[in-house]
Amino acid sequence: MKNRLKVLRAERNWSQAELAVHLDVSRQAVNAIETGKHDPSLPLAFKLARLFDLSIEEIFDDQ
Amino acid sequence: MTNDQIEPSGNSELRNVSIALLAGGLLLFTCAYLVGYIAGTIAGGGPSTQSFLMIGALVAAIALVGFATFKFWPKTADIPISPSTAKSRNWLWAAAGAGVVIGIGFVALEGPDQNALFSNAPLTATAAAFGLFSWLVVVPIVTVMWWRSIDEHEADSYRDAAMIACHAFLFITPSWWLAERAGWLPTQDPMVTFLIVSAIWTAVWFYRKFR
Repeated sequence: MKNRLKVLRAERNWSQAELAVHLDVSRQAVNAIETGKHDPSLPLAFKLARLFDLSIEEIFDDQ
Repeated sequence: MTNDQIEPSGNSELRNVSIALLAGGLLLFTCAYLVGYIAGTIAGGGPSTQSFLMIGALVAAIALVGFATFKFWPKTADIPISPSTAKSRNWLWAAAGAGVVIGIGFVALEGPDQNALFSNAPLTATAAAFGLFSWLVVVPIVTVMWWRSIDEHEADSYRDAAMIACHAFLFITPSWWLAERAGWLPTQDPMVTFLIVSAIWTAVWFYRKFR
């Protein structure tokens, strides 16, 4: 699934590892989500949305 | 600019982890061989020039493999990790530690010449009880605790790998059974099947995690 995670992370100048700490997942998980190799669960998507103060639809694009 | 440039890309990380695991496995094997060789030398009446040369060569091989392991092990000391990742890594280390204890336990109970761990030779009741306790009590506890600490990406990788390994079992077991009945393969050994399935499970799990 396409997403804006890398851009949002760049705006905060966070590394993948730093974002992973915020989400309590591994760096590999962040990398897999960013590259579209892993679709996050609904709880993790909500966690991301709350972290960036956006809606899930503003981060992920299923089109 | 994002900071992911300081981190390895998925491919290079998979490569480094693969090399590190291979080197680590080789290191473990070489160390075990050295311990067995020294035990055999002592039991055989003491060291000779040849055994000193062999021990020297093994120590050099261990040093070389140890250096390779250190060189290729991903340098993650300065990269922050989440609490759940730290916890799951600790449980993985616990699993590795349990493996070492089980290996040493078998050698201590059966002696270095018996190859108790990697053979179908008869076991003493003590060694069998030790093995069963390790496999049915210690390993499940460590596995469950590790499973509870991993994140969803790792759980997905592990689950996908389990499904592929399950299919490997589904195809290997009856195929071997049929080939054995036709006289093309030796008698089916459940532990060989177990090792093949476990190897497939681990390889796919790591590929899915680090790709």
